Amino acid sequence: MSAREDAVDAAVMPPDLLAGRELALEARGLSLDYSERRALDAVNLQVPRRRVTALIGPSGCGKSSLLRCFNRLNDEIAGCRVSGEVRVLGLDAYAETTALPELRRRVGMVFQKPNPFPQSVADNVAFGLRLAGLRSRLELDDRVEAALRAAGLWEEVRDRLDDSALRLSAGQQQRLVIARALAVEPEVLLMDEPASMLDPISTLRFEELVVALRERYSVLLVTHNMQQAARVADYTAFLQAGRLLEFDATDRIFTNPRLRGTEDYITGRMREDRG
Amino acid sequence: MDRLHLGQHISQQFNSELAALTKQVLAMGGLVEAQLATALEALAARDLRQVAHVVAREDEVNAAELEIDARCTQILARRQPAASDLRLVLAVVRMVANLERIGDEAERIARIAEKLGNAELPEHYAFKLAQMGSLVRDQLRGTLDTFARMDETRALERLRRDREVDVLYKELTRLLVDLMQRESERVPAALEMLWGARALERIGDRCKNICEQVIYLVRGKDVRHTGLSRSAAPLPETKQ
Amino acid sequence: MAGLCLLALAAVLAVLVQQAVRAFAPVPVAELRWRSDAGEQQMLAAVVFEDAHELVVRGSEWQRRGAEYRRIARADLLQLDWPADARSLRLHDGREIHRRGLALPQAPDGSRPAAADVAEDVASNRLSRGETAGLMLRRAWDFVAGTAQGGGVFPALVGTVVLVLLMSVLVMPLGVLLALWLHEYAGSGRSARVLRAAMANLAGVPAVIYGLFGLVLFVNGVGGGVDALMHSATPRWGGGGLLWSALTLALLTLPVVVIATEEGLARVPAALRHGALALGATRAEMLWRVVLPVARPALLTAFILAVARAAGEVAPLMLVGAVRYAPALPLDGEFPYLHLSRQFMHLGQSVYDLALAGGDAPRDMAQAHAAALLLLVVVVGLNAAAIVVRNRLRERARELAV
Ligand SMILES: Nc1ncnc2c1ncn2[C@@H]1O[C@H](COP(=O)(O)OP(=O)(O)OP(=O)(O)O)[C@@H](O)[C@H]1O
Ligand SMILES: [Mg+2]
Repeated sequence: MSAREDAVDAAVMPPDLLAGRELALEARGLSLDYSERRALDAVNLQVPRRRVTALIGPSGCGKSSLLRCFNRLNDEIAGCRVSGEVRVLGLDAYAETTALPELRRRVGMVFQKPNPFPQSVADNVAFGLRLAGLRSRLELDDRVEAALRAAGLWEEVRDRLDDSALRLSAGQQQRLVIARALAVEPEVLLMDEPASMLDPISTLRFEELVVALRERYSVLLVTHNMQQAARVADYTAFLQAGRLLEFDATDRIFTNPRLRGTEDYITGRMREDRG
Repeated sequence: MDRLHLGQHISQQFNSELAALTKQVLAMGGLVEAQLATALEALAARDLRQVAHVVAREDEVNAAELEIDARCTQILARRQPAASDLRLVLAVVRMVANLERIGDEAERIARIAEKLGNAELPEHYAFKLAQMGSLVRDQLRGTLDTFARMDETRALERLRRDREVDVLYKELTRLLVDLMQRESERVPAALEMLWGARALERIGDRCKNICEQVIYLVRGKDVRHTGLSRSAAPLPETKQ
Repeated sequence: MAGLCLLALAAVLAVLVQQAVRAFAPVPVAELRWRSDAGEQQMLAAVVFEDAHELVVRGSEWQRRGAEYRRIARADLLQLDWPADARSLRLHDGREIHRRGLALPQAPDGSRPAAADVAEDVASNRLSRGETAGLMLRRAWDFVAGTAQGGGVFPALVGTVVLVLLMSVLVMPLGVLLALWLHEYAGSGRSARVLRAAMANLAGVPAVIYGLFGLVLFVNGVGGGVDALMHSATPRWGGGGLLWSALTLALLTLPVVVIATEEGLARVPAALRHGALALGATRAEMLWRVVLPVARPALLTAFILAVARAAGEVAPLMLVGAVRYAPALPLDGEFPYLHLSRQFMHLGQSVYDLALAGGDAPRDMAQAHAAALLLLVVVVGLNAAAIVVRNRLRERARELAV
């Protein structure tokens, strides 16, 4: 408990905001460097369990980089160095003993750009299930359908399950990769602008989905759509230039953020005195 | 001083929309202030021309309220304002409603002048009422001032000064009730005067509401029903 | 650019075809009489070359590959007839014998070929166009599908195809694994750098040096070792053979395969890799299920390059198993069907042999060209098949870029 208090910087986050909440994700003093450039600087972030936390911030502030720390996908990027502590569901993600496939099964990710595999729609969704050793045709079909339904794509693709996923429209592909992530039923979902290519109706459906997901999953959602963050998130974190500027309840952030920087960002202001 | 940095949006159009909105609120405030002043003069001088003037301009006040409301609706729909912008719009909607009510009360005061006609009351009653009138006028002007300057500290001061109005009101009420018990033939005139005092007291309350909105929009702190106006507590923490 | 390449290919093909056709064209037979140092001579011979000054003629082949070519100056010529009853016999062993009339002629040693030995009997001087064409086709077929004894190159054709396929089977998994290791696991470590440098240099080593290397390492080293272990009296593995040749070629084409595969791997979008990993795939699962399928066109490119390189190499093979004449095919109906230790014939070798064996004998030169044409057809055919498959896969891959 005292360790957690250490990690909370009162300027960033009200100390008692998450008191008594279990944490799904936690970053302490997390810094990240790409060969020359520092992308994250001593970030302390706590993401509560079974809640939706939005991560907002200007382009290039390090949101995607931060997300990738929680499933250690940054390991894949040459020249990327991470320091500090990352805890996922209570376990040290960067410990020697961490089994990456296991970690990544528990922490699903939806990428900023839809990245369906060049396979059929059904195979895409079943990908993670097959990895997990599921072989029964019947069960696979069921889970694929359930995931597609959850992502709001089933009606559109039910006749095209064997078509190449690459033939779907961009918005459909985006929902497909969401379905793909949902299919393996992870405990935490990292979503990097998952609704950027959806039409208003699909966006609302997606938001409904996220709100429903709250029951079982912990969600960390990157979005550039302030209203979306305001609509679906319980908590909102504001990241700027690699630093976590403010973390608070979403209601607070969108009516009365404590920091001027946050306010400027969400209200679309530019400060003249920014050097 | 642009305490809310209203002019710093990346969208220039949004900047000018918000600027126009605050300007319009201040214009409406000025109009209401003028209405109150005229009504008070009409009451003091029993000047029917001025009464008619107040009654005629009441429509302008109503029109201003409608127009500002429409503007706010538009901003909400088109800009989806957040944080201070959102608070500004919400505060303006509430303030304008209060201003319109103040306009109504001003009209009522003017009509009292008409009803009183030539009925005379002892000097010091009229004096007390005039005293209350100028206090309330000062409150209104000061309140509009705090909005113009987005100055939440002065707004808090104004909020607390409303008690002075209340004290005067109670004093005057007691005097008038005394008078009505002693001299029954003066009851109609005393009653009118009581209504006038009551209208002024209402205006004081509305100014208080407006001050609360100023604090809300600057600080994001809703101080309604908190008793803040009665305690001597300072305002909550300020933004970094 | 592509047009130019096709033009060059067409030119080469045209020359080869033009030359190869001569191997199968019927040659008119003349009755000749001429003066020579040994006095007046007379013979029935096929005229294979003729100009204003001299004739080149080929007499009956009474011995195998013992064609009696003569060069006769026109000045010495006393008589030249084209008798209507002249006939050319081709025997099953490939020899050609000329005669007049229908009776089987007698060899100088007094023997006579039996009627059963005769494969072809044509009236050379009286052939209609249709007959000529049919004859040429039949001869071409005999050449392609015939046994070595009959002057055909079928064993060499089989040897070449089997060798190239076996080489591919050996080099593709090895090359792809190496490329995967280099590109996906080794990173920029020291061993990877060394291996990369080695690949770049190996690609430039002359082929015959691979032959020497294969001889020392596979034939003498491994093969000899195996023989010693099995206490076999006659060298079985310790001599040149199909497996050693395939391995040598595999070694030769390994750099090509590794480099082409690595390039293909580099082009697989990182987003796909990350997508697979994020779903809990291990690195191997990610490679197997996502990266390799996407990189399939690149693998086929590697295969094409390897085949093209391997099918053209003869020099190293002569050291490790290709022979002028092999008694049996490397692939037959006898268990274990594919005979890895057998020596084999190779079209490249045939070209070489046919070109050299007959000295300036025009028919053998023409046959060398025919063999070369066949070799080219084999290479182009294998490549074309691979290219067709690759283009199909590319269609799928192209959608990916959208
Ligand atoms: N692979 C990489 N190599 C080097 N620098 C990188 C790499 N990925 C990101 N960066 C840099 O790190 C910083 C943060 O990038 P990141 O992708 O995390 O931003 P982001 O907040 O997700 O932006 P956006 O909203 O545009 O997606 C940027 O300055 C970016 O240029
Ligand atoms: Mg990003």
